Formats: sequence, structure tokens, C-alpha cells
Amino acid sequence: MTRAHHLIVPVALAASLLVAGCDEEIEDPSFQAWCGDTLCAWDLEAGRIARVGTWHPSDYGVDLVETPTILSQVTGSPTSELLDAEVLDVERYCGDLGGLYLPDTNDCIRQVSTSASSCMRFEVTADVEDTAQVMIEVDYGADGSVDHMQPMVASDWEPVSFLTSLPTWPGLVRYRIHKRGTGRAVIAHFGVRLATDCVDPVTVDERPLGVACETGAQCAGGVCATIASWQACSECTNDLGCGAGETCQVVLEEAHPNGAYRTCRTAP
Amino acid sequence: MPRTLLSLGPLCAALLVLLGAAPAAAQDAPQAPRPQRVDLAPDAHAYALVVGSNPGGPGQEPLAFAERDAERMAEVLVELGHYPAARVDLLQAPTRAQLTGALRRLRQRLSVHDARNEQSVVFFYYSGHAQSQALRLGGEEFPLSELRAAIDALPSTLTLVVLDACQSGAYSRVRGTDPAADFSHNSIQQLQTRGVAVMASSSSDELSQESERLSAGYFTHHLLVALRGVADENRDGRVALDEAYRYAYAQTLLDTSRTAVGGQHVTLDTNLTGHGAVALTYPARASAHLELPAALEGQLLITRTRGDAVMAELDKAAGAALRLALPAGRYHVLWRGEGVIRSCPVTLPARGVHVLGASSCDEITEEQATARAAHTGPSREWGLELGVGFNQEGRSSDYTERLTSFGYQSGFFDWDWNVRMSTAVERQLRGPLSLLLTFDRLEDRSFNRGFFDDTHDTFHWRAWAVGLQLRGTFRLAGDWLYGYAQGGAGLGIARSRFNPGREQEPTNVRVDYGVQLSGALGLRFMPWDHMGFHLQVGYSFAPILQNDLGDRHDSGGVSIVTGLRAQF
Repeated sequence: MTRAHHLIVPVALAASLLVAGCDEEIEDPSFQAWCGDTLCAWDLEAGRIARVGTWHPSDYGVDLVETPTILSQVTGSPTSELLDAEVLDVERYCGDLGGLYLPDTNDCIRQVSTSASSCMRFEVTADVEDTAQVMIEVDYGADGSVDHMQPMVASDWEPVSFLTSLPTWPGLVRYRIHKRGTGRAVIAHFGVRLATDCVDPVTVDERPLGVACETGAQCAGGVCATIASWQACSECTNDLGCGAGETCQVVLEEAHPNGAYRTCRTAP
Repeated sequence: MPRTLLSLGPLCAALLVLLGAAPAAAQDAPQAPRPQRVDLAPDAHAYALVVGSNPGGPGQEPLAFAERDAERMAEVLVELGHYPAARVDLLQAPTRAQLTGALRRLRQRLSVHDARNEQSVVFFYYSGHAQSQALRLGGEEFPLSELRAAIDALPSTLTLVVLDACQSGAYSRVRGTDPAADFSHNSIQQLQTRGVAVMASSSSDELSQESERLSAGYFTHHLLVALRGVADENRDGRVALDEAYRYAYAQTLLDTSRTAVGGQHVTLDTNLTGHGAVALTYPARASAHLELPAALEGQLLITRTRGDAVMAELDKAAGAALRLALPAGRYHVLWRGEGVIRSCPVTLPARGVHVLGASSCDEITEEQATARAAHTGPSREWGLELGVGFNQEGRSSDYTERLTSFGYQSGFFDWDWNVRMSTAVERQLRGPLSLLLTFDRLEDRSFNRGFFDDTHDTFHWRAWAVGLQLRGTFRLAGDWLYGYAQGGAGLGIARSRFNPGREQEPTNVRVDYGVQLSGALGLRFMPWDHMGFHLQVGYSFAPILQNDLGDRHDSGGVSIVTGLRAQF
């Protein structure tokens, strides 16, 4: 049979848009994109990894070689981000979006995610020995604190999946694959898809800076401040909480990727 | 080729000891035996046990045509002797146990008729090696005494024994019965005495020979020609036992006297009670005939176009017409006479008579005739089959499930049935068997992963098989419809191509090999001599494709193929 690949594209595309959706959270979940000896889309926090064949020598998996070895990837959306659009009247456009216009730089900070899913499904295909002690660690808010972890029980390349609840608030999530033992651990697929099957959401009331909030009790610092049309965990709500010569300013920094927040800075 | 090479002294002595009685009236001259008429009732139950055995024993070369002779004898009995096909038991290269079993079953079936006082006739034919005291069935011996006892024990009204084996005339001496009283005064309905007639291809001290030219044993060939009507001297539409004997005797002796081994004298021993001729075949009742008109004279070599099988070689004298009952089909007659050599294509219709005449022949040269004669020989054919059809596809296996577990999905056009193409070259072996060299395209499939991602991986494979198959062919109708069954093994080849969606990654091609087992049933429809069609349903098991995790995929399955067949 001659495969009509030229027909597959439009038909399958339409079917996919209608049915499947693109809800894979992880970039390169099958560890196929290698930049030299490292994975292009994953961060190697510790240890060493190697590219190995799985069912086919050209279909790669990642071998967690050393103990420990930690692979991680941050996914999800920040609460707010800098508007990346070329428009003539940024101030007016920013106002229409309900964003915060920064006249000094002619930039606009806008809110990104407003709703949160309650559940996610891990899909794993791997060959992991028990002695490898591989854990899946989840860092809600990507602030460096592990909020949830569970063992990766997957052997003989049999696909497994399991559900984990998400916090009620939207934000970034860092996923870590952490090998703690000495056994062999080769992972062919680590996917995360949003789901609706979980019942109880995860309660994480220590939200990092920049994450959307309603009250200060939800934030790690106990402060929830208005940014523009939304509120985010911050370090101050107004100038009264700042020292002499400082004002409570909105900042957007790489160190706090969840979005803009208020902090006391020296007035320009 | 002699049908045995053993010395004769021990055989004759042993047989005489076995018999311990005066021999019956063994005949070694054509004019001597005049068997009396044994008119069987029209509803006499006719059975035949036809045995052919090519394999030789220790020190014996295998025969070339014994099994084929048996097959042709069985065909003639059904076609012209009016033996029901279901009652003709053809044994090819049987073991001793198989022959004993066949004789036992035959006796049981005859006993039923005997118990009802119904008349029955048995035709026993053997073609193969013989030794001093026994028939040679490959590595086993079947003692003549045991054969005689088994045949004598058959509760039949009339038993005809035809042996084409070395020293087969010795069988007659095994007979221990005295010639029976004249049967002419008994009524048919009161027939109680059982009669036995034995025709043997050679006397007790002679060798029986095969002919490459005739692709048959000399004796059996001429007996078959006789049974097809050439021997019908009195033109009553039947070939009687004595008529067949006289013809076979003369022609066998004429042919074999030219060989290095020497003349072969056919013998006939009769122990029949009754009067009149024993009809063996009824050529007049056949639907297709080739008539050689009265004026025609000369040597004729009649071959069937399909397979170039020699059907008859005979000398025709002017004065009386001859009719041969032959299966409908195409024939070639090489006619040497009147100082001219003629090549005559003949088509016998399903019903009717074709009269051979010089007007329908082409004059040819001696060189052409020699070439034509050389072309006739063993029924060895070449065939070529080209087929296309469907093959079961889309079946799951550990292999495809593994692909699924790694995130692949089958291609959009990965249907359950796939186009199948097959090619086969066939070489005719002996009898109904042929050997095929086959080439089949088994499978063509693809799986995809990440179709909408930057990394769109495609995995595609095709599988083929090259194999040898043994095919047994049987005739279903005339010369145009055959059935066949075949089975065999071969080498399966699967070429897989992994095409990563990432630009920097090269395409990986891999070739796997594995065993392929297959079998098929088919029909062959041959409306023309060299061209026709075939339809075949088969199943193949081809676990060729494998991955690095040890999973295998069977690329075979059920297939339905039809196409063209050419044969030469």
C-alpha cells in the first residue's frame, strides 16, 4: 500500500484540533532533542546523563547515569509577564488589557494566567530498577521548594500513568526527575497533561512572589498587593511599608519568574 | 531402466516352493490365451487398487515413472473402465503397512457385496521394483506369498492383476489353483466361482524396463494405449483382456527388443471360469475420440500439449480405422508415413471425434521431427505466476503494542488489508508435485509520533519473503481446471526506516531477517495451453521484524491473490 502522506497532514491536523488538543505540558517529553551530551529542553541540575537507544537505536531515552542525577524543567504560565508586542500606543493598549504601563521604559506588564487546572497526569515509559530510587518532584511556583514528590514506578518499558492534584492558583511548575539510588534508570517518556480527574486540590498557601493571590495569608511573605487589574504576592502594598527613601514599586525580575510583584526600592 | 536388477534363479525357486502346486496356464505367447467370456452383470461393483512405487531398495536405483504409470492407469480405469473414482484407491510409494491396510479395506468392502450375492470385480495394479520373493516398497519388502494370499482372499467375482515389475511373470507361478471348469454353461446370475487373471510385464526370468522416450514403463504404456481403444480388434467398442494382452505383448516385445537389456515378454495367466471376453475398458462410450482413418498408415507419436506427455506411440497399418479414446484437450501428432513426416496439431472437443488427416498437418523436416521427438519426455513443466491481491494487515503484535507504548500511532491509511503482490516460478517434479520459488511482498506499514510537534518521528517498514514451496496439483475438470495445495518455508526480509523529525538526526535504516512459513490452497484455470489464471488463498507466518527489546512482529497473515499463470 502506498501511503498518501500528503493527505495525512490536513486530515490529521483537523482531527487533532477537534479532538486531541495540545495539552502536553512538557517540552520534549520523549527526550529526543539532544544538544551534544545534554538535553536541549531539560536542565541538568546534578549528576550525568547519557543518550541511549530504547526499542530502536534511533529512538532515544535518557539514562540517569550518576547518583544523584537531577533533570528538571519549568512549565506552566507566570501570573504576569512583559507584553511582547510591537504596538505604537503601548500605554493605551496596555490600559485596554488591564495591564500596568511603565512610562520609564514604555513597557507594559500584563496578566497571563487567570485560571488553574485542578489535576495533572504523569505519563511515564521507562525502565527503572527499584534500587535506582527515582522520584518525581514537583515544585509549584518554581521557587525552589519541593511541594510534592512520588516514586517513579515504571519498569520494562511498560507505560504507566498516575494523577496528581494541582494547587488552586495558576503559575509556573518545576518538574524534577531525581535519581537517588544506584540502580539503572532509563526514561523514554515523561509527559504531563492537564486533567480533571482529581478530587482534592493541593493546598499550598505559601505562594512565592509574583503569584496571583486574594489575601496575604496565601503568600509566603504574608503580603498580597495590587499590581494592576490583579493582585500578586509581594513584599509591600504601599510606600508606608518601605524604609526611608524607598517606594513600593512594581518589578518584574528573572529571579522571580512567576510575574510582577511589589517590593521596596529606592526611588529613582 | 530395468525395474529390478536381481538374479532370477532364487526368485523362481522360491516361488515354486511357495506355491507347491502345479502352475496355472501361464501364457507367454499372444495367441495362446483365449480367456472365456465372463459377463458380469451390469451392476457389478468395480474396485481398483492401483499401486506405484518409485523408491528402490538396497542396491536399486529409484524408478522414474512407476508412480506416474500408476496414476495414468487409475485415470484410464475411471475414464474408460467405468470404475467409480471413489472406488479407485491410488497408492503412491506406500509402505508395507499401507498396502496391507488397503488390501484389508478392499476385502471388507467386497465382503459386503459378497454377503448380498452381488457381483464385484477387482483390478489390482502394481508398478515398481520387485525382488526374488517380494515386491520392493522402498526399504521394505512385501512378500509375494502374502500378496497372493491377500488377493486370493478377496471375495470378488473377478480379480484382474496387472504387474509391471521385473520378473513379474513369476507371480503367475505362485498361483496354486487348477484351471477351473468351463464356465460357459453357468448362468450369469448363478456365478459362484471366482476368477483370477494375471497379466505381468515380463516373464519370470526377464527384466522390465522403463522408457525415457515414453516417460513410462514400456509395458504399462502399451497397455494403456491398448485400453484407449487401439486394441479393440473386433470393433465392439470394448477392449477385452485378451485384446489388451495381445497388443501389449506385441508392442512391448517390439520396443524392448531394440534395447540393450533385451526383449520383454508380457505374460497372461488366466484362471477364469466361464466363457467370453473380459472387458477391461469401454472406449466407445468415451466422449472424445481421435480417429485414425483406414487409409492412414505409418508411425504415430501422440503427445498431449500440456506437459508434452506421450499418450500413444503406435504403428498404424492401412486397411482399418482406429479410434483412441482420449481426454478432451490439445494434442500433437508426429506422423511418419508415406515417406513424409507430418506435424499435426489436434484439438479434441469435449464431445465428438476428430479425424486425423494430412490436410490438417504440416510437413516438417527430419531435423524438426527429431527436435520435436526430443521435446517429448518426462512431464516436466515450468510455470510462472504473477499475482496481486490482498493481505491481512494492521494486526497487532508485541511489536506494534510497543510502538504504541512509546507514543506512536499507526498511519492514517494503515488499513486492515494491504495490497499483496506475489511471483512464483514453478518447476514440475514427478507426478502431481512441483517445486516453486516464490517472492511475496507481505506488508507495508507506518507509525508516527509527535505529528504536530517539531519532532515528528516516522517509523515505516516493508516486508518481503523468498521461499520454496512444494505444490501438489490435482485435476478438477478436464484440462482446464485444477486445484492445488502447497506449503513451504523461506526467508523473510523486513526493511524498516526510522526517520526522526529532528533535522540533525539521520534516517536510520535497518534490515531484519527471519523464517517465513506458508501454505495455500488454490485453483488454476487454464483456458489456453500456455496461459491461464490462478486464485489462491493462503496463510503465512513471518515473524521477521524485531526490535531491541526482543519484540517480534508477524508480517504474514491471510492473503487472497489472483493473477496470471504461464506454463511452458
